[in-house]
Amino acid sequence: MSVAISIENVVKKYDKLTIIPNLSIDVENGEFFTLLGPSGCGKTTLLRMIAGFNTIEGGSIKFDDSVINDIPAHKRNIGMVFQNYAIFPHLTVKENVEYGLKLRKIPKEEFNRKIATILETVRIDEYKDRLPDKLSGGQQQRVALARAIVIHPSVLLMDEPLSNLDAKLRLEMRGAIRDIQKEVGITTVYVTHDQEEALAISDRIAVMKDGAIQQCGKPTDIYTRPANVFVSTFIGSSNLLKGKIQLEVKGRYVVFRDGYRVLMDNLIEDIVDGQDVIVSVRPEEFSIENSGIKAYIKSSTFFGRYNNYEITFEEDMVLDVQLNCELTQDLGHEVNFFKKGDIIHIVPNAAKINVFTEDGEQSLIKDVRKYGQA
Amino acid sequence: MARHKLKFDFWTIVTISIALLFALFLVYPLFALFISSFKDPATGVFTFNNFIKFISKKYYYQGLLNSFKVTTCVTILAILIGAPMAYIMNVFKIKKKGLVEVLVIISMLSPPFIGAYSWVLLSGRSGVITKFFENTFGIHTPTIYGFTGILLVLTLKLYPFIYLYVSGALKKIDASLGEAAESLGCSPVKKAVTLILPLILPTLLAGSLLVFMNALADFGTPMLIGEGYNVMPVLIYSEFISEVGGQANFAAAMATIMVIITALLFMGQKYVVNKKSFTMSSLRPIQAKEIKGFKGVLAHIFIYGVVFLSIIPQITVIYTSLLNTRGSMFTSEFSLKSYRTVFKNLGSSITNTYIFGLIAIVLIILLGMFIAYISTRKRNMFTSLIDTITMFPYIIPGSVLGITLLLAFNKKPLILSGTFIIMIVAFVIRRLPYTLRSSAAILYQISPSIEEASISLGCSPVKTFFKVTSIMMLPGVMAGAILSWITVINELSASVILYTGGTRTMSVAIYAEVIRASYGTAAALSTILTVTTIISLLIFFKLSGNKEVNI
Repeated sequence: MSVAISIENVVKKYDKLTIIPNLSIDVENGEFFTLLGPSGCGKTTLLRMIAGFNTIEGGSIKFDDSVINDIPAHKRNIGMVFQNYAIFPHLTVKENVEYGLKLRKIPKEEFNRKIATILETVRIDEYKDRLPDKLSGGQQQRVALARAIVIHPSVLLMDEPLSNLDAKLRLEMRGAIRDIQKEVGITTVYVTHDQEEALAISDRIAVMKDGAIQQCGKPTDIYTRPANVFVSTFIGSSNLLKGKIQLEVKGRYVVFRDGYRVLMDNLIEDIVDGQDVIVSVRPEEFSIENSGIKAYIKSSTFFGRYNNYEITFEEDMVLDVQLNCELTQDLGHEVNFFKKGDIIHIVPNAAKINVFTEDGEQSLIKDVRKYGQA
Repeated sequence: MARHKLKFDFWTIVTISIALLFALFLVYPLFALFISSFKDPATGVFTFNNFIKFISKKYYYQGLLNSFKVTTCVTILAILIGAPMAYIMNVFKIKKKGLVEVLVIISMLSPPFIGAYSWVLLSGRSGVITKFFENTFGIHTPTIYGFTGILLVLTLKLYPFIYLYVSGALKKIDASLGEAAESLGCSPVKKAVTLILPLILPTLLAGSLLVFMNALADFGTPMLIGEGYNVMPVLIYSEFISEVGGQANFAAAMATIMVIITALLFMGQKYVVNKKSFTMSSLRPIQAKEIKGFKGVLAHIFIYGVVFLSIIPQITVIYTSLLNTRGSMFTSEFSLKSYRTVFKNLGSSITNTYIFGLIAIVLIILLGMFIAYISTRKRNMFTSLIDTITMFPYIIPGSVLGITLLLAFNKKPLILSGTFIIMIVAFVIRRLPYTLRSSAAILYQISPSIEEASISLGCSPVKTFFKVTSIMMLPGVMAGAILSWITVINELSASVILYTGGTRTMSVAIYAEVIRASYGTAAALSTILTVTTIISLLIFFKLSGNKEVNI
């Protein structure tokens, strides 16, 4: 039976080095939950704590209501898919898949039925008598998945399972994993550093940095309403512009350095006139108009469905950390293409853009909170 | 918290048991040796007299000087033969390369005293070659006994280490490096000196040290062919044997000196190699080129000449074992008389060799796998210490190990002297490193996630070790185990100190027969031993799938 996972105040230390200072999160039963973050953020460490391969230095991890901290890995009833698949090279495909089930004393008939079903589900039936070194990357991936799922684990843990595959296969396997997970209905914790993959596959995503969760939510929420500058730039790309708050009777404005301003109706109450802010605008949230913020085309890249322009603004418009500003132009509706050196005017979409405090740590949009804050 | 409790799981028990075994059979005896070297033979009080005696009498310190002289010369000659040979074999196409390599390895793994004794048969006082030159030309050939003989036999026995090491290093050099040098206008000779030599230098140093240590510790060769040219192992042995029944403190002092010297050398080499080492991996190894004309002939003559010289002992023993004998002389007709004598009188030495060898190899495999596992997967201070201790046999000459074991276990509470157990202990300690190192090497190549996968599927860690890890380790373990096996059955320098009538092995019996000038039976026994070695090697090649030996 699938379970819910609750992680309460866990701590991970290697000698004096603290990887995870204090982390809590709940994963619902049957959910596809993704831990996303740059390398070194502690996501794999956390996954291996759930699996039982890493010790827990503080706090507790529960499967439903029972604490599993001191239960050894082999008794946790988990299914794990490894980054390098970890297929047993001395066993055939079928023997690999049977390995975990054999340890579980299941009636012969049911055993055979389960094996046959899973081999078909992940579509490796025809290779079942081959040795692993005769399999392609995608096939090995399917074997690893079948081996983990066939034991009907309480949770399915996946550690960057697609990172060793080529781009096309990655897309295909992404779909396959998603479908199989929904079909079997196992609580799944998935680790990746690929934000696009996380957005496509997850029910919920927890974005991690430095051993702490920055934001947790549905893919759309995380993309459209990031909780801080880190999330807004790590998930998708964002142009970070310098701005100021302007409070007037008519409404509340965000003013850019060149004087252009947008009326905002979704800012929190707790702001003051003249406050410095960071305005985060995604490349697709600009529209090209006759007037607006002045920008120069630096280069143009054609992607078929859209054009991607690298643009520069007047001096002091953008944050120093911002290396390149980007603008995308949907080619379905646009007829004017621009070339290097052209001057354009662009207008940010007030309903879509995000506004952060000067230090980038806090969103000033209503109802958007950093993870763990009330 | 739970994690701070010392958990008595399987691996903790294994670790502690192994530590106890090594403490009992290696650390304690060595310690006992050092202590006894500082004791006065008569009174047992603390004294430096044993050491003073050594440095004040020319007879003794000359042995150390002789050892250094022989060892240094052997090492230099081995480099001069082995390194060019490796270069030629890897850079040029040499005909019958596979056969050459197999013969080189066979000559390396055969017991060295067979070499000594064959050269005595050929060029000794009444040797075939000596007689031939005397009778035909009236020329007296230079004597084979003493320094020259030791040098000849040890060089031919030990150059393969250099050859194998340098070959291994050359295979790791990417061809593009050489091509880059050539594109910059480097001549082939200059390329070898400025590029290839620096790249293989750390490996060459490691190989040289191995040759040096082996030459320094070798007992059988100087004993059989040295004739008064005393070197350290011979001195230690004769002092120890002559003092049996009394105190062995002086022999212990000499043994201590030797262990200190080898330990210093070993550490010095580690230091140099660590400073100079770099990792290379070649995607495209150097391809052997055709070599034609005069140069080609010269290269082939050199290679075949060296290999022929080094394989002469094997040919000699096999040939002479089939000859009829009269006393210590061979006659010219063929006969199986020597073999009949061997099976009648010395049959027990053959069965002893195989039985002790098999017991030792089983223990070596078990210990090798366990120690490799705890020192790679359960790394902590304690397991690292065990890993270091298992390297001790590299610096302890066999005869010294024999003495330490005998001194430690010839009194209550644990009397093992004279039993087969002490022989097996010596075998295991001396030859464990081969299996251990190849087991550890393969473990590094097995991803820990394979084990984690098994554990995540509900298999306990101990079960996982036996069901998954150990099976995946097997190829590496077996490759090392066969080397351990070959060197166990050929072991002489420790056995000759530890054996008694009932526990005599083949190599000890051969040594005794040669000393008695009973050359026929010695040849027959040597042939049995050599054939066993060759068959084991062929199995090794079959198992490992290539013709490479990692010493």
